[in-house]
Amino acid sequence: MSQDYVTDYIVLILKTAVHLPLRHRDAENYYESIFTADSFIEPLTLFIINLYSLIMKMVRIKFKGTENDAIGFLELSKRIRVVCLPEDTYEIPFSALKMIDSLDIPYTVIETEGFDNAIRKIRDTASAKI
Amino acid sequence: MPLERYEILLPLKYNDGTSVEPEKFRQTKIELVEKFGAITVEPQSVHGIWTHGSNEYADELIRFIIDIETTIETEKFFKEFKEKLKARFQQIEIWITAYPIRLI
Repeated sequence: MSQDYVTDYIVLILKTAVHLPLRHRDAENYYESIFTADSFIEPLTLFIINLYSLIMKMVRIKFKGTENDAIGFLELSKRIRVVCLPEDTYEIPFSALKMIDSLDIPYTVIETEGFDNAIRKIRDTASAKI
Repeated sequence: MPLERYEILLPLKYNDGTSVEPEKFRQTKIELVEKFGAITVEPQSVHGIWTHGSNEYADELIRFIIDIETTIETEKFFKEFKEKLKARFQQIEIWITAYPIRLI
């Protein structure tokens, strides 16, 4: 494993850890403040990380309230591929958060996780017993 | 155990052109997630035109996807669920398809 790859991975973990307790917009501002002000990684690396986040990283969300859940679920379903999980939670691409923000439907980010985990969730369905 | 993918197409509008209430999609989602643990809803709308008698209907649809083990109980569940969806979405027909899949 090259040193650059290790650096990328560490920064990605940091971003994920920082994101957990924060709403999307807050987290995004926080990333910008710490990553651009300190400039401890080169811009190209940051670009690659963001691209990775856009393509691969999934985020689990929950809408605030039953009515928002009904509207939010339908609006998501019309636009993107959504993994629906128990307790009215949804796994969607990280990049889709901006789309929800634009619809002004209140939600909470529960956690972020890798694409592989999302695939595993779908496959787990197949092992459910009827 | 062999696997099947079930796909359910649900209309966004009733036949008179009014929008289906979001709560009906939510209720459908809840019932399927409670039964199977997780489901996927496809990103793109599916558009279709169909005729019944002399009337032509244009549908805008979303697709629910459920991957599940092939059992007699599964088939029975979806046959019953189809009737429930026909009443819920006020449709003459609800398109539910199933086909075998293989995990790599």
